[in-house]
Amino acid sequence: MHSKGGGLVNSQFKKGIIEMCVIAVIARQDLYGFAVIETIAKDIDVNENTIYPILRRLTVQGYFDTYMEATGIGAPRKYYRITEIGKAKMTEYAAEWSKFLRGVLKILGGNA
Amino acid sequence: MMKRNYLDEIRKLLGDYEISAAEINDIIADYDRMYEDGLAKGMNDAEVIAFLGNPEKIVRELGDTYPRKVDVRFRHGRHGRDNKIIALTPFIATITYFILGMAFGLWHPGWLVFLLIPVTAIVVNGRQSFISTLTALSPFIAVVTFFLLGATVGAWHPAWLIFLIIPMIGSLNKPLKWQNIAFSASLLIAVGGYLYAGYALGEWGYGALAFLLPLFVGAAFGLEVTIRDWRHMDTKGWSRAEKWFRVGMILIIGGAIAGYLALGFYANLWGVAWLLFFAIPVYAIIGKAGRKSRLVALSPFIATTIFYLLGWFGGWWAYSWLAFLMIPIIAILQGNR
Repeated sequence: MHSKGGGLVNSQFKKGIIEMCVIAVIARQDLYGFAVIETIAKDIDVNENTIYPILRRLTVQGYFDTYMEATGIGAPRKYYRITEIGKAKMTEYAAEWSKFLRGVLKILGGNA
Repeated sequence: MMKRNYLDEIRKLLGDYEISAAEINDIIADYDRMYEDGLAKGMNDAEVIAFLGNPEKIVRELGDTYPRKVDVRFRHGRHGRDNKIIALTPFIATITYFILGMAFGLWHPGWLVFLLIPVTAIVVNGRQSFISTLTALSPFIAVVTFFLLGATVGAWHPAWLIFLIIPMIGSLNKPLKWQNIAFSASLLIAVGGYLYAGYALGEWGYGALAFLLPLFVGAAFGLEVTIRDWRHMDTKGWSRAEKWFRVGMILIIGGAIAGYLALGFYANLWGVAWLLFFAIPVYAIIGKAGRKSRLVALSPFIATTIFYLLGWFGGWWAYSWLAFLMIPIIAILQGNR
């Protein structure tokens, strides 16, 4: 039976994972908004409408800074670049996530 | 055109949030750029919108970063002072009521002072625009005018017509301006026709047929708007819930007018049928208000309905005003969360 709050917890959990993925892809290389969504949506089944708001929130929180780059055609693109705070957050996420995954795999493997 | 609609919808929805104009412009510029990137990748407009997400959901997600204006006011702004004002109104109303009753014998319509409580709650808790506040207040403006005209000059009929300001003002909340104006105009024409038939020709019964005009106009525009919205849903990026909300509002307004006239003409329940018009602001609050402020915003309507139904059908006016105490109680309890 599903609990009433199950959907909310599930949604928050997914948001946490997407947040981590957004930081990870930008930590790898500077990207513009559309490319961030495209990169993540290519590998994970997510609601694309959540990615930009997360990207914006993380920028407001100081995990990224932005710069404009001309494209030759149309308006310049806004690129997102990870900051030192963002890098620290990424390290923290990576450690937490590895620990979490190890625990889950251990349980699934029946070694708990 | 499609991109413009899409960006306009995002901009409009962002207006409900605590975001500076510069930040809104920045968000719109980001979506503008991403939209162009999508088109450059060979996507068509519908695909780009599906890729970026519908405006309603995007803006709701942005709510993690930027709270809604209503919730901000409720949570931080002035809720302590607001609650004091709301909490004081039952005492002010009760004292005024007893003074009017005992000193001047004005128990009726002196009970109208209790409407000060829901009116204060509506004004103080704050809506986002003048027209929204006016919509919420319109049932109270109408009932006070109705009872004052009835009690002072005995003009119960046709004073009941004042209740038609509620759907008129309610219709002005919707986006398509000229249809709203046409609907309001049709109501005014119907009122004019009805009064002319009644006073000049002595045909109040046939005169009531004039009200078929706004019903037809409302139904025709409602249908047209619904079909149009359905056809252009991709360009506006509306969710199914948003579309049904708009359809529901049309039905609620039409239903309230039809129900009011039916209960009035066929059951002679003019005195109580006006409560049906509460359905308009109540529906808007349920559909649009933030979770935190919803119950507080609904409480004036719930209290007034309980107060009036107990008084009207049970004759318990002396006790039913206690229902208004729920407004400050709910405001304080919700505000402390």
